[in-house]
Amino acid sequence: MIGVISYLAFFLTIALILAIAVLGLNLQWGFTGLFNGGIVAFFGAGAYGLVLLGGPERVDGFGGFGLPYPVALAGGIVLSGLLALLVGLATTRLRHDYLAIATFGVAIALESVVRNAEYLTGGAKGLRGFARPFESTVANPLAYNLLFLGVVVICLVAVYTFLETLVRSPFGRLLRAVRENERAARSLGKSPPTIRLTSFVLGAMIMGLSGGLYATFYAFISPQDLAPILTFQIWAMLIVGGSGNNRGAILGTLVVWGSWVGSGWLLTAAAPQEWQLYAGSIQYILIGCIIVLTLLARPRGLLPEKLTQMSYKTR
Amino acid sequence: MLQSLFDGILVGSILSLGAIGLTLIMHILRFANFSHAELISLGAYFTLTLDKTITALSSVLASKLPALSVSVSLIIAMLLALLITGIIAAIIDVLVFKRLRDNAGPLTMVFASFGIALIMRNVIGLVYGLKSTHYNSDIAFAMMISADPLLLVKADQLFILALTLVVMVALHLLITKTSLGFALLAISENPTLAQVNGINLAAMVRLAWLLGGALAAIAGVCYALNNQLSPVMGRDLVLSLFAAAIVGGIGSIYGAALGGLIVGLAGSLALVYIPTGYKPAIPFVIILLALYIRPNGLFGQER
Amino acid sequence: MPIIHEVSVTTEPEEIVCIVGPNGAGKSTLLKTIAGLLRTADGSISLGGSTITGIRPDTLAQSGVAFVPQLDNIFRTMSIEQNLALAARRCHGNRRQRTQEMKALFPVLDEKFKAKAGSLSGGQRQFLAVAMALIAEPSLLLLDEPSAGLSPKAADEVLGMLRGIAESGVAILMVEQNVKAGLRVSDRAYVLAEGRNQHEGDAQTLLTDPVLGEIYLGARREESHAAKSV
Repeated sequence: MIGVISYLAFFLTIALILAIAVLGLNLQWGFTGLFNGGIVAFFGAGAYGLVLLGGPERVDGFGGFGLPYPVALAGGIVLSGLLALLVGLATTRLRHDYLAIATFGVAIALESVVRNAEYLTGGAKGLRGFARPFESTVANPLAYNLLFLGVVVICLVAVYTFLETLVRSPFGRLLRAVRENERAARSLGKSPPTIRLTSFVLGAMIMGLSGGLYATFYAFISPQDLAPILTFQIWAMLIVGGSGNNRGAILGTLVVWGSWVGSGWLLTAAAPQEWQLYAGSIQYILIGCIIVLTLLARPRGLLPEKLTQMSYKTR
Repeated sequence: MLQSLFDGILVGSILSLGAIGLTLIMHILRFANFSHAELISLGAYFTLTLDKTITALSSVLASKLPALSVSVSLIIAMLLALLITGIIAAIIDVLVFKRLRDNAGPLTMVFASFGIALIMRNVIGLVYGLKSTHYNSDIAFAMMISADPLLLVKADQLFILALTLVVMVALHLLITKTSLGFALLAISENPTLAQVNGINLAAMVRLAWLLGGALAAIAGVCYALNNQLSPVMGRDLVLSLFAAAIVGGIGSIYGAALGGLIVGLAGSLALVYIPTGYKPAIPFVIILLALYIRPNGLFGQER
Repeated sequence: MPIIHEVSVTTEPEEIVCIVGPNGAGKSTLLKTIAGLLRTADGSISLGGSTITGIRPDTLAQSGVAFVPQLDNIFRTMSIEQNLALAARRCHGNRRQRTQEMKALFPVLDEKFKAKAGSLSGGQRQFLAVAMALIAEPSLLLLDEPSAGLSPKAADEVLGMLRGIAESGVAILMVEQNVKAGLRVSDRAYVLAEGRNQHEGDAQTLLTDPVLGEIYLGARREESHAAKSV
């Protein structure tokens, strides 16, 4: 019984941490129409930022300032925001697929930098030994995990509430205006690129929060956690849940994460030995198919596409 | 330094071939195709299979060209593969991308291209295995063209350079001398105007996919000859291809050719100063610089 | 969201018809739809008795419909020679001869034959654009704001050519923002507003008709209402 609860807590914790990132993506895509092709970079920046600022002193490297947890977490979030600013400034005033390319690129670049800059980031070994907050005071591991799950739930609710409020605020109306009719928004003196940039950076910071919580949970971060597959998983979660809808985003997370874990378990348990090597490939093909088939099945594709500038359709 | 220049031009030529199809589609259909690089893998692997098949059928054709590790059957295989890859590229467009652009917008296509890339890459992995391989197991020796400054060149690399040169010249002639090539250029510059002047957009789009796929296949064979075949060979080139297309200016064939060389050289020269581990980050830096300084690239005409 | 709700327009060969109206009336949209670049949800377009609704723009171009867009109506990176060669691909007659005729009709094109089209002045570019449309001997010539962005002198030159073109058997349908200049050279005119026909009649009479001002002003009142409520 304890085992089941323990496993469920574990599963839910990860799922809800990822759900936070999905909400961040929903702000960027669902509400602003921005395509983030490198979600994992902003997730990872938050994670690494947290560990570098709040982790134990490092003998042979930078970081490990042992700052209080909230400060370290905030630092990670700010780092994600800065990264988003770097990429966003270059691209939000250009055609939309440039952001896709640039974010895709920043994820690759970050992974390679993190993997190699041993002094800065611990290189391929990653950074371990992060002291989880209050761990020493709560002796029972199960109790701690449940407590941590509670914290994650609180964060998720906070982000959800923040976004729901944002959407109903004047800024939210601006977002809609920019999405639906850019020229009209411009004529009212609003700068669409700035609005998009703000939304992008905010969304990235939410992803940074998710990354920070992730690193906290595992008390460890390494370049493996910056693998591109996470970007696809987060996207799949958003699509399946229906973009533009925060509640759908959370639901989609649970469905996709459940399927991912379930399919992984199934392959390990049921597939013959020779296939085990290919379990990853099969899962990747699965996600690829989910993405493509969902897009084809929905006649309008992903919802918030820009309605302008599609004047000449190909025949 | 000289070696870096040579290596840079070599890699650059391969990137040029791959970037041409990418830049055309990106401009005409207005979407960044993240699965284009997988056509490179596809072309390389098709060539592998066809080469083995042809050699099995006729061992005569397995004879290698003088000094090269390239056999006659490999060349025949490549020619067949480029045809097949081009057709597959066009088919994927009809099955997936065209349906999406008729109903949804460009970003949906970008998104789908991620999914397609994931599928293509992993299907190759399932079919051919995850390990890297080569067209043949001969060890190719490098010739020392010059001792100081050091320049080591493999005969296969000269073949690659010669091949890319021939392909570029053929492409140039196609664009400037044939009616079809001219029409493609017109559609590329201004699709609306081209259509009202009697050019069939859908046909030109098909041509762009066929051409892009074929060129990608050739790039794949060259890359495989210079490095190795692996299911992730396309994925490793994606960012560099985008860098080449952006630097050259989206929509410009000559831009993509030049952009490929620039990105290849930049990467190669950068490695003189920074550790190889950081190599994947170089195209990203190039892209960021280009977008900040000159988003239209060298020859781009953004609409 | 449909821009055109209900519009009906006819033209005859050797006739110049002008379409005017306030911004957002759907004038350009109408031309682009006739040219096959935009799809109609309803209604039909016919040319010389046969229905052409839903036909591809390139097929229409081959069948005698010529469209001169308002912006980007020449290939800038190509030379005049190349532009004309491209346009001449759909010629039914002798291409070389038709090119010569265009050069005779627009002498500046002959002078700068090898020059890049992007290096031409506004008026010269418009001449090239019209030449590209005429070279294939169209039966219907669609012009989207031919005088836009041109100096008064150049605008006069371009509009002044239209009578001669019409007399050679072409039906001309043009949209003009410069109402006076457009109506002056036209036979008939339609006034469009908010995606519908509002008025039609003889072009010369319309020049002095007060209803023109009413339609424009009416539309302007609508615009300022809309701006206040955003």
